[in-house]
Amino acid sequence: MSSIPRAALVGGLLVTALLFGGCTPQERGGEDRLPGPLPEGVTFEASPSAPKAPSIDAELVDGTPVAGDLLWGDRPAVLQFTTAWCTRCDEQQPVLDGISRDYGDAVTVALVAGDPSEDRDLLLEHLEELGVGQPVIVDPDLRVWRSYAVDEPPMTALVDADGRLVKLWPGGADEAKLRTELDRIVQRTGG
Amino acid sequence: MTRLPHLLAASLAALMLAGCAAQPATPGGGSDAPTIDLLVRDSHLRVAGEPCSAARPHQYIHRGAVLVLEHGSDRISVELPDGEAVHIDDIDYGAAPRIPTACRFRVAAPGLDPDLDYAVTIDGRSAGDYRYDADEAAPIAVPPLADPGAILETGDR
Repeated sequence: MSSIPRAALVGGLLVTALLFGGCTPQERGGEDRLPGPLPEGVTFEASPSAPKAPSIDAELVDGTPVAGDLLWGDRPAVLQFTTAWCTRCDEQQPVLDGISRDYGDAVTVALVAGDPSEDRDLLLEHLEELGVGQPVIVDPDLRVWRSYAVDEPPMTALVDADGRLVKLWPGGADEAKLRTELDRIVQRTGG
Repeated sequence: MTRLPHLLAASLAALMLAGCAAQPATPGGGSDAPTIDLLVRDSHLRVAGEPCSAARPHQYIHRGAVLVLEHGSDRISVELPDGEAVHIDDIDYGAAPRIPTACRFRVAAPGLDPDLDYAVTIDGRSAGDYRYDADEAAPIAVPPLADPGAILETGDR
Protein backbone atom coordinates (compact mmCIF):
# COMPACT_ATOMS: atom_id res chain seq x y z
CA MET A 1 0.00 0.00 0.00
CA SER A 2 1.47 3.33 -0.95
CA SER A 3 1.84 6.04 1.65
CA ILE A 4 -0.87 8.23 0.12
CA PRO A 5 -3.73 5.68 0.39
CA ARG A 6 -2.54 4.82 3.88
CA ALA A 7 -2.61 8.50 4.85
CA ALA A 8 -6.04 8.80 3.31
CA LEU A 9 -7.18 5.78 5.30
CA VAL A 10 -5.81 7.24 8.52
CA GLY A 11 -7.45 10.53 7.67
CA GLY A 12 -10.75 8.82 7.02
CA LEU A 13 -10.59 7.03 10.33
CA LEU A 14 -9.81 10.29 12.09
CA VAL A 15 -12.74 11.99 10.39
CA THR A 16 -15.03 9.13 11.39
CA ALA A 17 -13.77 9.27 14.96
CA LEU A 18 -14.36 13.00 15.09
CA LEU A 19 -17.81 12.80 13.62
CA PHE A 20 -18.99 9.96 15.80
CA GLY A 21 -16.87 10.50 18.87
CA GLY A 22 -15.97 14.14 19.08
CA CYS A 23 -19.22 15.71 17.95
CA THR A 24 -21.80 13.24 19.18
CA PRO A 25 -22.47 13.84 22.85
CA GLN A 26 -21.91 10.91 25.16
CA GLU A 27 -25.09 10.38 27.12
CA ARG A 28 -24.75 11.79 30.58
CA GLY A 29 -27.09 11.45 33.52
CA GLY A 30 -27.63 7.69 33.27
CA GLU A 31 -27.53 4.77 35.67
CA ASP A 32 -23.76 4.93 36.12
CA ARG A 33 -24.22 8.34 37.76
CA LEU A 34 -26.30 6.99 40.63
CA PRO A 35 -24.47 6.94 43.96
CA GLY A 36 -22.55 3.88 45.06
CA PRO A 37 -22.81 2.00 48.34
CA LEU A 38 -23.49 4.06 51.42
CA PRO A 39 -20.21 5.07 53.08
CA GLU A 40 -19.44 3.58 56.47
CA GLY A 41 -19.73 5.76 59.53
CA VAL A 42 -22.52 7.91 58.18
CA THR A 43 -25.92 8.21 59.83
CA PHE A 44 -28.79 10.55 59.13
CA GLU A 45 -30.84 12.81 61.33
CA ALA A 46 -34.56 12.30 60.84
CA SER A 47 -37.07 15.07 60.22
CA PRO A 48 -40.21 13.38 61.56
CA SER A 49 -42.39 16.47 61.32
CA ALA A 50 -41.75 16.92 57.59
CA PRO A 51 -44.36 15.58 55.15
CA LYS A 52 -43.64 12.57 52.98
CA ALA A 53 -42.04 13.50 49.67
CA PRO A 54 -44.18 12.89 46.58
CA SER A 55 -43.35 9.54 45.05
CA ILE A 56 -41.33 9.37 41.83
CA ASP A 57 -41.90 6.84 39.08
CA ALA A 58 -39.82 7.97 36.14
CA GLU A 59 -36.71 7.22 34.07
CA LEU A 60 -33.18 8.48 33.81
CA VAL A 61 -31.99 9.76 30.45
CA ASP A 62 -30.69 6.30 29.57
CA GLY A 63 -34.07 4.70 30.24
CA THR A 64 -33.20 3.30 33.66
CA PRO A 65 -36.37 3.19 35.76
CA VAL A 66 -36.04 5.32 38.84
CA ALA A 67 -38.24 5.57 41.90
CA GLY A 68 -38.02 7.60 45.05
CA ASP A 69 -36.67 4.61 46.97
CA LEU A 70 -33.71 4.45 44.63
CA LEU A 71 -32.96 8.12 45.16
CA TRP A 72 -33.43 8.46 48.90
CA GLY A 73 -34.42 5.15 50.61
CA ASP A 74 -31.15 4.84 52.54
CA ARG A 75 -29.73 8.36 52.21
CA PRO A 76 -30.95 11.94 51.71
CA ALA A 77 -31.50 13.28 48.21
CA VAL A 78 -31.19 16.70 46.65
CA LEU A 79 -33.41 17.09 43.60
CA GLN A 80 -32.79 19.97 41.24
CA PHE A 81 -35.64 20.75 38.85
CA THR A 82 -34.14 22.12 35.68
CA THR A 83 -34.30 22.48 31.89
CA ALA A 84 -31.77 22.94 29.12
CA TRP A 85 -32.85 26.55 28.53
CA CYS A 86 -32.77 27.67 32.16
CA THR A 87 -29.92 30.13 32.67
CA ARG A 88 -30.23 30.22 36.44
CA CYS A 89 -30.15 26.41 36.53
CA ASP A 90 -26.81 26.55 34.75
CA GLU A 91 -25.58 29.10 37.25
CA GLN A 92 -26.49 26.75 40.10
CA GLN A 93 -24.85 23.67 38.63
CA PRO A 94 -21.53 24.41 40.39
CA VAL A 95 -23.40 24.36 43.71
CA LEU A 96 -24.70 20.88 42.94
CA ASP A 97 -21.26 19.77 41.79
CA GLY A 98 -19.82 20.98 45.08
CA ILE A 99 -22.46 19.07 47.06
CA SER A 100 -21.79 15.93 45.03
CA ARG A 101 -18.07 16.28 45.60
CA ASP A 102 -18.20 17.06 49.31
CA TYR A 103 -20.92 14.65 50.43
CA GLY A 104 -20.09 11.88 47.96
CA ASP A 105 -22.23 8.78 48.21
CA ALA A 106 -23.76 9.94 51.49
CA VAL A 107 -26.24 12.07 49.51
CA THR A 108 -27.99 11.50 46.20
CA VAL A 109 -27.91 14.57 43.98
CA ALA A 110 -30.15 14.27 40.92
CA LEU A 111 -31.53 16.58 38.27
CA VAL A 112 -35.16 16.41 37.14
CA ALA A 113 -35.27 17.78 33.59
CA GLY A 114 -38.61 19.14 32.42
CA ASP A 115 -37.67 19.42 28.75
CA PRO A 116 -40.30 18.07 26.34
CA SER A 117 -39.45 14.80 24.62
CA GLU A 118 -38.91 16.49 21.25
CA ASP A 119 -36.08 18.50 22.85
CA ARG A 120 -34.30 15.43 24.19
CA ASP A 121 -31.27 15.91 21.94
CA LEU A 122 -30.95 19.51 23.10
CA LEU A 123 -31.07 18.31 26.69
CA LEU A 124 -28.35 15.73 26.08
CA GLU A 125 -26.16 18.28 24.35
CA HIS A 126 -26.68 20.67 27.21
CA LEU A 127 -25.81 18.09 29.85
CA GLU A 128 -22.62 17.42 27.92
CA GLU A 129 -21.75 21.10 27.59
CA LEU A 130 -22.36 21.65 31.27
CA GLY A 131 -20.43 18.52 32.26
CA VAL A 132 -23.26 17.29 34.45
CA GLY A 133 -22.05 14.45 36.62
CA GLN A 134 -25.30 13.62 38.40
CA PRO A 135 -28.10 11.26 37.37
CA VAL A 136 -30.76 13.06 35.35
CA ILE A 137 -34.44 12.13 35.52
CA VAL A 138 -36.40 13.02 32.40
CA ASP A 139 -39.85 14.41 33.07
CA PRO A 140 -41.19 15.48 29.66
CA ASP A 141 -44.81 15.54 30.80
CA LEU A 142 -43.90 17.42 34.00
CA ARG A 143 -45.53 14.79 36.19
CA VAL A 144 -42.74 14.89 38.76
CA TRP A 145 -42.54 18.66 38.46
CA ARG A 146 -46.22 19.05 39.20
CA SER A 147 -46.13 16.69 42.15
CA TYR A 148 -43.45 18.93 43.66
CA ALA A 149 -45.35 22.11 42.66
CA VAL A 150 -42.61 23.36 40.35
CA ASP A 151 -43.89 26.39 38.47
CA GLU A 152 -40.59 27.60 37.09
CA PRO A 153 -37.06 26.20 37.14
CA PRO A 154 -34.84 26.08 39.00
CA MET A 155 -36.27 24.62 42.16
CA THR A 156 -34.42 22.53 44.71
CA ALA A 157 -35.96 19.89 46.94
CA LEU A 158 -34.27 18.22 49.90
CA VAL A 159 -35.61 14.81 50.90
CA ASP A 160 -34.27 13.06 53.98
CA ALA A 161 -33.30 9.40 54.26
CA ASP A 162 -36.81 8.54 55.47
CA GLY A 163 -38.33 10.03 52.33
CA ARG A 164 -39.59 13.17 54.01
CA LEU A 165 -39.63 16.45 52.14
CA VAL A 166 -37.50 18.63 54.38
CA LYS A 167 -37.23 21.76 52.23
CA LEU A 168 -38.28 23.21 48.89
CA TRP A 169 -36.43 26.20 47.49
CA PRO A 170 -38.25 27.86 44.58
CA GLY A 171 -35.66 29.69 42.51
CA GLY A 172 -33.05 27.15 43.56
CA ALA A 173 -31.28 26.61 46.86
CA ASP A 174 -28.88 29.07 48.29
CA GLU A 175 -25.66 27.08 48.72
CA ALA A 176 -25.11 28.04 52.36
CA LYS A 177 -28.66 27.12 53.34
CA LEU A 178 -28.51 23.83 51.50
CA ARG A 179 -25.23 22.92 53.17
CA THR A 180 -26.58 23.93 56.57
CA GLU A 181 -29.51 21.56 56.11
CA LEU A 182 -27.29 18.76 54.84
CA ASP A 183 -24.83 19.22 57.69
CA ARG A 184 -27.71 18.90 60.11
CA ILE A 185 -28.97 15.72 58.46
CA VAL A 186 -25.73 13.96 57.56
CA GLN A 187 -23.89 12.76 60.67
CA ARG A 188 -20.38 11.45 60.13
CA THR A 189 -19.56 9.19 63.06
CA GLY A 190 -16.66 7.28 61.56
CA GLY A 191 -13.05 8.38 61.36
CA MET B 1 3.46 14.55 -0.82
CA THR B 2 4.54 16.60 2.17
CA ARG B 3 1.41 18.73 1.75
CA LEU B 4 -0.85 15.80 2.57
CA PRO B 5 -0.67 16.13 6.37
CA HIS B 6 -1.45 19.82 6.04
CA LEU B 7 -4.41 19.09 3.80
CA LEU B 8 -5.64 16.47 6.21
CA ALA B 9 -5.26 18.79 9.16
CA ALA B 10 -7.08 21.56 7.34
CA SER B 11 -9.85 19.16 6.35
CA LEU B 12 -10.19 17.92 9.89
CA ALA B 13 -10.30 21.45 11.26
CA ALA B 14 -12.97 22.38 8.74
CA LEU B 15 -14.98 19.30 9.63
CA MET B 16 -14.72 20.05 13.32
CA LEU B 17 -15.86 23.59 12.81
CA ALA B 18 -18.65 22.67 10.43
CA GLY B 19 -19.79 19.51 12.14
CA CYS B 20 -19.58 20.54 15.76
CA ALA B 21 -20.53 24.18 15.71
CA ALA B 22 -24.02 25.00 16.92
CA GLN B 23 -26.22 27.02 14.61
CA PRO B 24 -28.61 28.95 16.84
CA ALA B 25 -31.12 31.37 15.39
CA THR B 26 -30.40 34.41 17.47
CA PRO B 27 -32.80 37.28 18.19
CA GLY B 28 -32.77 39.40 15.10
CA GLY B 29 -32.60 43.10 14.68
CA GLY B 30 -30.18 45.82 13.88
CA SER B 31 -29.47 48.66 16.24
CA ASP B 32 -32.47 50.65 14.97
CA ALA B 33 -34.98 47.77 14.99
CA PRO B 34 -38.05 48.46 17.15
CA THR B 35 -37.81 46.97 20.60
CA ILE B 36 -40.88 45.30 22.01
CA ASP B 37 -41.68 43.60 25.27
CA LEU B 38 -43.40 40.32 25.80
CA LEU B 39 -44.82 40.49 29.30
CA VAL B 40 -45.95 37.26 30.91
CA ARG B 41 -48.24 38.30 33.75
CA ASP B 42 -47.88 35.15 35.82
CA SER B 43 -47.52 36.93 39.20
CA HIS B 44 -44.85 34.45 40.17
CA LEU B 45 -42.69 35.04 43.23
CA ARG B 46 -39.19 35.93 42.06
CA VAL B 47 -36.29 38.16 42.91
CA ALA B 48 -36.86 41.29 40.83
CA GLY B 49 -34.22 41.77 38.17
CA GLU B 50 -33.20 38.12 37.95
CA PRO B 51 -33.43 36.08 34.74
CA CYS B 52 -36.73 34.25 34.44
CA SER B 53 -38.88 32.08 32.27
CA ALA B 54 -42.64 32.08 32.36
CA ALA B 55 -44.25 30.14 35.16
CA ARG B 56 -47.06 27.66 34.88
CA PRO B 57 -49.33 27.65 32.90
CA HIS B 58 -47.11 29.54 30.47
CA GLN B 59 -44.02 27.35 30.81
CA TYR B 60 -43.66 27.14 27.03
CA ILE B 61 -42.45 30.75 27.07
CA HIS B 62 -38.75 30.71 27.81
CA ARG B 63 -35.33 31.43 26.35
CA GLY B 64 -35.12 29.86 22.93
CA ALA B 65 -38.88 29.81 22.27
CA VAL B 66 -39.84 31.58 19.04
CA LEU B 67 -42.06 34.65 18.97
CA VAL B 68 -43.74 35.14 15.59
CA LEU B 69 -45.64 38.22 14.40
CA GLU B 70 -47.58 37.73 11.18
CA HIS B 71 -49.62 40.00 8.96
CA GLY B 72 -50.50 38.41 5.67
CA SER B 73 -47.22 37.44 4.08
CA ASP B 74 -45.24 39.61 6.49
CA ARG B 75 -43.60 37.42 9.07
CA ILE B 76 -41.24 38.47 11.84
CA SER B 77 -39.68 35.68 13.83
CA VAL B 78 -37.59 36.28 16.93
CA GLU B 79 -35.98 33.85 19.32
CA LEU B 80 -36.61 34.86 22.91
CA PRO B 81 -33.70 35.69 25.19
CA ASP B 82 -33.89 35.21 28.95
CA GLY B 83 -36.73 37.09 30.57
CA GLU B 84 -36.26 39.53 33.41
CA ALA B 85 -38.38 39.48 36.56
CA VAL B 86 -40.16 42.85 36.91
CA HIS B 87 -42.49 44.32 39.51
CA ILE B 88 -46.20 44.01 38.88
CA ASP B 89 -47.28 46.47 41.55
CA ASP B 90 -45.88 49.16 43.79
CA ILE B 91 -46.55 47.41 47.09
CA ASP B 92 -43.73 47.52 49.64
CA TYR B 93 -42.95 43.88 50.43
CA GLY B 94 -40.35 44.82 53.00
CA ALA B 95 -37.34 42.55 53.22
CA ALA B 96 -38.92 39.70 51.29
CA PRO B 97 -36.43 38.73 48.59
CA ARG B 98 -39.04 37.15 46.35
CA ILE B 99 -41.98 39.28 45.40
CA PRO B 100 -44.86 38.99 42.90
CA THR B 101 -43.43 39.63 39.45
CA ALA B 102 -44.08 39.32 35.76
CA CYS B 103 -41.48 37.88 33.40
CA ARG B 104 -40.55 40.37 30.70
CA PHE B 105 -38.79 39.36 27.49
CA ARG B 106 -37.34 42.31 25.59
CA VAL B 107 -36.64 41.67 21.91
CA ALA B 108 -35.73 43.61 18.79
CA ALA B 109 -38.28 43.09 16.02
CA PRO B 110 -36.78 44.25 12.71
CA GLY B 111 -39.30 45.29 10.09
CA LEU B 112 -42.16 45.84 12.52
CA ASP B 113 -44.71 48.14 10.86
CA PRO B 114 -46.74 50.41 13.18
CA ASP B 115 -49.58 50.48 10.67
CA LEU B 116 -50.23 46.77 10.79
CA ASP B 117 -52.02 44.46 13.18
CA TYR B 118 -49.98 41.34 13.72
CA ALA B 119 -51.15 37.94 14.82
CA VAL B 120 -48.81 36.79 17.55
CA THR B 121 -47.76 33.23 18.26
CA ILE B 122 -45.26 31.97 20.79
CA ASP B 123 -43.93 28.49 20.36
CA GLY B 124 -46.81 27.94 17.94
CA ARG B 125 -49.48 29.03 20.43
CA SER B 126 -51.66 32.02 19.74
CA ALA B 127 -51.03 35.10 21.86
CA GLY B 128 -53.60 37.43 20.31
CA ASP B 129 -53.02 40.45 18.11
CA TYR B 130 -50.47 43.20 18.44
CA ARG B 131 -49.94 46.64 16.93
CA TYR B 132 -46.67 48.41 17.61
CA ASP B 133 -46.81 51.98 18.86
CA ALA B 134 -43.43 53.61 19.44
CA ASP B 135 -44.95 56.21 21.78
CA GLU B 136 -47.01 53.99 24.04
CA ALA B 137 -44.76 50.97 23.71
CA ALA B 138 -47.41 48.66 25.10
CA PRO B 139 -46.17 45.13 25.63
CA ILE B 140 -47.46 41.94 24.13
CA ALA B 141 -49.20 40.68 27.23
CA VAL B 142 -49.80 37.05 28.17
CA PRO B 143 -52.53 36.68 29.21
CA PRO B 144 -53.76 39.65 27.18
CA LEU B 145 -54.83 42.88 28.84
CA ALA B 146 -58.45 43.96 28.60
CA ASP B 147 -57.09 47.45 28.01
CA PRO B 148 -53.83 47.27 26.05
CA GLY B 149 -53.12 50.87 27.02
CA ALA B 150 -53.32 50.18 30.74
CA ILE B 151 -50.44 51.46 32.80
CA LEU B 152 -48.31 48.59 34.02
CA GLU B 153 -45.92 48.76 36.92
CA THR B 154 -43.15 47.04 35.06
CA GLY B 155 -40.18 49.10 36.07
CA ASP B 156 -38.66 51.14 33.31
CA ARG B 157 -41.66 51.49 31.00
